[in-house]
Amino acid sequence: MTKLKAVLEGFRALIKGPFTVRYPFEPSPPPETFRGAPKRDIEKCTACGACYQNCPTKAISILDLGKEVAVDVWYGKCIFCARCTEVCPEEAVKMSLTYDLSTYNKEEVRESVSMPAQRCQICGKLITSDRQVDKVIDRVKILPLPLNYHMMVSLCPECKRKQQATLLLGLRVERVPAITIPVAVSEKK
Amino acid sequence: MIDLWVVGLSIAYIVLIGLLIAPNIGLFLTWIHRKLGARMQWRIGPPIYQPWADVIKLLSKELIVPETAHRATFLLAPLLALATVILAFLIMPFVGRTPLAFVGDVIVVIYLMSMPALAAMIGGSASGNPYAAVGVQREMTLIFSYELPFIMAALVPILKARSLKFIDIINYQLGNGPLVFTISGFLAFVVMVMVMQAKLALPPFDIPEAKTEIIAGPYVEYSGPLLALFKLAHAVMLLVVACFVSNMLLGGLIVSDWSSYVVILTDLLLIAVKILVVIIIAAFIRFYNPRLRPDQAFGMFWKTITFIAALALILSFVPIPYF
Amino acid sequence: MSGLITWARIKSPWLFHFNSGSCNNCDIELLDALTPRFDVERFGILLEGSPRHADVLVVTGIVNRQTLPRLKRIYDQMPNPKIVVALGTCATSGGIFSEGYNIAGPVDKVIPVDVYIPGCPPRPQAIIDGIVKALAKIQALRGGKR
Repeated sequence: MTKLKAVLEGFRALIKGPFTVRYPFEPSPPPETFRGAPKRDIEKCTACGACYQNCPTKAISILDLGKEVAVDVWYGKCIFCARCTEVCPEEAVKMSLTYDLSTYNKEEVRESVSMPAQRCQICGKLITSDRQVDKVIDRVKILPLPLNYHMMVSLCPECKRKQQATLLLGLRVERVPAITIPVAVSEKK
Repeated sequence: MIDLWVVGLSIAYIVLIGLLIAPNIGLFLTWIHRKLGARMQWRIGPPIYQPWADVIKLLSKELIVPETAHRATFLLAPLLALATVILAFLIMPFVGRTPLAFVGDVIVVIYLMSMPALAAMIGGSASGNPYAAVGVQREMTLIFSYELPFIMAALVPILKARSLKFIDIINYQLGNGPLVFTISGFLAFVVMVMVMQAKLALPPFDIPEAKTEIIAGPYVEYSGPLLALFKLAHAVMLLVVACFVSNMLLGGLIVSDWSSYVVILTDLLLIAVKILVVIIIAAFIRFYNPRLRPDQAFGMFWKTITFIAALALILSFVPIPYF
Repeated sequence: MSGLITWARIKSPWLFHFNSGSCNNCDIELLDALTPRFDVERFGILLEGSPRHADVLVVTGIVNRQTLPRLKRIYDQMPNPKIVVALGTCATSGGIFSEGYNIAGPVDKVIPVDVYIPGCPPRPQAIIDGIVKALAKIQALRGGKR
């Protein structure tokens, strides 16, 4: 009986024609919630580094390019888990519907978004991007701030600590014995 | 003393028909199998030039002879397969040539049709690979099981026509109607279809070359041009088996009357239909059945099929028409 | 004549699939490409059982120490000309397994790779896209190296 059903199914397939999607001659779009290549909105991204810290494979890297800071996603290492989408505070990352990423050279499947950088005014180390600084100032400006906050915001943690110690103690000291907590926000390239 | 033009003509005959026409028709029949199977599985299937692209690609690849192989036998086995199959095609009547009609040509063709399996076995044993050894053993099991019912079924037209020549069998069928419309002929046709599946190593009897079980069986070490020769031998074997069954049981593949255009046209059409019917039956059985175990196939051939063949043989002695 | 051979090589690529330590997702997607929905047989692609019959080697998974000699041996057993396709993120760069203690590197540290198909796992359409790129490479080489 099952053999008869199989035979009838075969004849039905012969009559009705194939069921194939003729990709690549026909488009074959994925469903709406498909996790394709993560794309960054350049207007919203602030290079804060949240996606970098949460990426399980470290496919995202923050690059120091002198006057600019870039957020670079290497699709060769990405596992399309969408963690970066979840933790981005500005909702700048969206998983697009792009799935055809095949390539001859694996280093070239990247997406880079760059923006002006904010460097420390004393030692020149990269802190973060200009926009992140603006956003931080925007969020804390309702609090009572000291008048030199704008200067403090443009210093790296070590220099900021030294300046603050100087102001507190009221004298100019060469070294401030401090417990330096390493904050790995960015990677030097 | 043999004249030079006879020698020249026979060489031209062998080259033109054997090496040019037979492989092309055979490859076309393999395409029919693949396309029909794909359409039955809701797929599109390969385009028509696919078997030719496969063979040309294989001919252009590197030839690798493994170290553990016996070199001469390894290289000669595919040539043996292709040569015997082309020779079998050349002997059988096909569209108006009956060149070598001698007594006993049916026996020669039956013998030559068992050679591709033997050549696969020889090649598999020569390659020195344990997978090939397992494939050879399985193929031997299969050959032992289907040769007896095949001979018994082939005896039915021979007994009916009282002759061992293809021409006489075909003339008998032209006079009395194709043998498949008699009871013994029909039973012999059923047996021959089953044995044909096993000879062509198609599912449900593709025990020797079972890709998921023993990685291509006897052909595991063959690469490049040698594999192309084996594929061509398979393709021409399809044609040879179709021609054999058509000649013996379906009424012959020759044009009966070369003087009238209507008869020529209808006979050519009938020839194509007969070959295609055999091939399509093989394709349907192939795509609807899973693979049998060696012991299941052995049991099936020795019990059921031999019984049917014996019945056909006994019934063919009865001189009543339609028996 | 070489145009005919190049045409035949493009129209009939036979695949051999090797899993060198993958989670099997990429293998499932590769076998999905053979199903009636995506049907790669219309390109002439067949999945072969023996490496000697194939001319495209599809490797999934990151290569661990146990599969390293086996991958090398299979690559050597394939007759020239051959193409290697690294399927999935693990084969391209290691993915999340790249820091393991038994990893012998992604595939291009072991054998030369022609096409990379990132994805975790890549869709069957992406696999078809990658195979088409590999065939385009054969077209561009036109009977050249390997």
